[in-house]
Amino acid sequence: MPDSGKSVRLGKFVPQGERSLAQVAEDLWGTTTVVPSTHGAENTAVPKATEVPAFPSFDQLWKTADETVDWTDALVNAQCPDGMTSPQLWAFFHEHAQAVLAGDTEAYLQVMDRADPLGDLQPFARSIEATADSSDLLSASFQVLPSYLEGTEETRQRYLCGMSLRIARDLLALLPVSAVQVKAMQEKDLLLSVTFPRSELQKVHFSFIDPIAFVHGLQHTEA
Amino acid sequence: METLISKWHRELELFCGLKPMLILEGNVLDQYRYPVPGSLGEDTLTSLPHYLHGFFRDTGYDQVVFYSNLVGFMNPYESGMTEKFAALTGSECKQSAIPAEFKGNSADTAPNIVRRAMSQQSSAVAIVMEMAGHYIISPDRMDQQDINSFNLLMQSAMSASTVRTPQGKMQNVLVLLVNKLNDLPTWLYLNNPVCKSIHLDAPDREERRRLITGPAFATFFDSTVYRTDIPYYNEHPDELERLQDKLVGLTDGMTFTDLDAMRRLSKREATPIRDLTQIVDLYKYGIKENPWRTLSLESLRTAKADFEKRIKGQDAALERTMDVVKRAVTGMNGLSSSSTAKPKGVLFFAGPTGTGKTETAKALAEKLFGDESCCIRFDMSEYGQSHSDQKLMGAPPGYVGYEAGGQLTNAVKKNPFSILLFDEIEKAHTSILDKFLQILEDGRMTDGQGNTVYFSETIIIFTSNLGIYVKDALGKRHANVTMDMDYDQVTKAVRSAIEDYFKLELGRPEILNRIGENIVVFDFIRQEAGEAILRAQVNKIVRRMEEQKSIRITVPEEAYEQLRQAALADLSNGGRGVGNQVESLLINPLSRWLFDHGVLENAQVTIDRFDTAANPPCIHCHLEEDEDHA
Repeated sequence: MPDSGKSVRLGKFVPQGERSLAQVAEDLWGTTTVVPSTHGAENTAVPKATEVPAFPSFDQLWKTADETVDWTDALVNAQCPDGMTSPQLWAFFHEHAQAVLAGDTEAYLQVMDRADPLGDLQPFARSIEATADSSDLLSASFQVLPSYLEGTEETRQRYLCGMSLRIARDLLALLPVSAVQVKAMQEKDLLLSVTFPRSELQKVHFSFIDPIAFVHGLQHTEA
Repeated sequence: METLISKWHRELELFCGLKPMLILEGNVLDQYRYPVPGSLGEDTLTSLPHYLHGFFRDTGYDQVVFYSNLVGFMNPYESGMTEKFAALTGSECKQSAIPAEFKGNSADTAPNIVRRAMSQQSSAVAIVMEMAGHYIISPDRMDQQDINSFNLLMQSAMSASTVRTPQGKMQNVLVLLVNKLNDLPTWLYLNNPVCKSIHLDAPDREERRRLITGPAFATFFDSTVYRTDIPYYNEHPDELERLQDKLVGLTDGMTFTDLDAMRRLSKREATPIRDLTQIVDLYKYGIKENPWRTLSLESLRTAKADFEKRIKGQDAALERTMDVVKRAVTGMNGLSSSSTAKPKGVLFFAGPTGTGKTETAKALAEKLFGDESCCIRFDMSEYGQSHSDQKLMGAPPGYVGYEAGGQLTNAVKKNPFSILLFDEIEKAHTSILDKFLQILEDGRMTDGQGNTVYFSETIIIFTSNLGIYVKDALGKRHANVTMDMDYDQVTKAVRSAIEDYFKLELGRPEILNRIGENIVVFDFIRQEAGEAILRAQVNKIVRRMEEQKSIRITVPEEAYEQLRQAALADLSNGGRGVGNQVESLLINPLSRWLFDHGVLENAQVTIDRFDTAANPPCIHCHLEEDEDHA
């Protein structure tokens, strides 16, 4: 992350040390096929495993999209709209809508901190941080779990691209920026840096997307 | 922002303590903006029943219930309300509703429950009966039970009690919601001192302005678009105001439901603020391409010259026509009016027959929309009967042809970007002229099926032969303009006759006012124009024979002069008359000669002489020896 800018740690990560792949898989997948909605700190429960798959599939991470936050609606309506699960979160959005729509980066950080859009990614990275570079661009970086890099090149790329895609998608759904830059880090080594423009992500059908092909088609600096 | 309360809301406030039966009729299926802070937020857009729930609760009524003949009594807006109402009226509540038929002999029919509620004095009650016109087949076909049920409602209103509440004394009130007042039996509301009907209209200009310029304006936009665009408009508020003003004008006649749907569409399409008004086209017509916006200005600059190739001898008329088109293209049409939803342009082509009026309309359609078929022609001599308006606008429900819709409304629905040509408008029945008044003024028309058709992207052209002939005191027709008059004299005489027709003969000066200064008088086809038409037609025939049959026709100057003298001897029938002469003097004799001489293709023919005096006219030709065609 840029040293000069403030950043917010996403996912409410707790120090957990290195976990085995089996532990991560057991925590995350089991027989569940739907990733729970990630808006709201209330939503932190991860389904317990009843059956551990051979290897966790990241597909499930991007197949359930978060609803895009309608900030112009939040600006005007104090009342929580139908379908929004958390009135408290909507009240928070309403309170911050003016600043967000004015492109206030400090407000962006507060919103990311409060909404915690990436809470369910906790088992997949050591940490995820995000910052607002400008009113139009967010940057996020995640520290990889080394165990995910140990498999084949295919699984390694699926991990990096899938995580990046998922982080970008949910940050774009949360805040009215035009792009999100995501970096995958291993300690101080940069593994991937890719910019996700909103216009590109809007074209994507997440049920059919191949994250590797998609990410490779975007502007990236290193992989 | 200043509070803006609609007329019907103020009437509701005024009469709900005075009249125990209120009929809300008109636009009852629409959403409405709640105008004051209360149980609903100020400026909340909501359905009429929800609005009324908020209104009566804020006024101080203890109980508000809604009746539908499908469900019974219920209140989906406040839990526990239906149960309280059931207790009050001694009825049975099942699954948050009190089932009750509208008619029948039971003590628990809806009118009986209403009567018990209206006459009690322990709770101030407001009962809203939704879609009240649907409880019966028709007011003209009511059976005795229908009559008894409405009678009970009327008696309920007449015996309505007044209840003491913390807000003071309140009278129990019964509200009926209907699309049209005459969906109810007349005796229920006519001369009924306990009943007051209140009309609900589509949102007026001020209501639309409130929605478009108020806090809800931001909600027309996607969040990212709004964040990106709004700083510019914060620095240039006058530009934003202009955009909003234009949108207020363009949405004339739309309901709140339309406006809300358009708002959501704009957001979903991520429309930039600068393109906000384009969303009206998208919503109305369902397409994004508006030919008016993609018109090539360069091609318009040469339009008059292009038209002159097709329409001869009408310089002044073409100039006037292009003025209207330029006004439409530059968006200046309707600047002087409160409505920007009017048609793009209105033209009234007058002048002698065969002078190019219809041809100009077709040429205009081709120039503007790239296709002559975008000129939709209606021969108004077919609409001379009093019921002809149904042919144009569609028959009302229950009448033959209802399903087919109207010829005009169907055409405009199918192609909203078109030129509508109403030929010989003076032959239409006057009831149709009334319909045109609405189109010219508001730019829209509701067809027999209740669909609103918009004319705001059309150019409307009327053609007429008014003023060419006038009747004298004996009713005998004689020419009002003649070939020996110059164009200015013709224009003056025709305009004057048209004014007399609308003002004196029809007694409808308002129609003339709508046409305004857009009367374009076409001049007689004079000698020079006639020659140009003849030359163009002969050239066309020669060219086509060459292209299609490889028969090269040569008309030496001497022979052409014979044709010219005969064809242009009488120009009173205009260009069409010249065409008829060409057919009679050239096409028919030529085809006869070719057939008789077995010349069907690959030949070179020279016309030596036209015998125009023969009956039928004939030509003398000879075959040339042509190496190419040998």
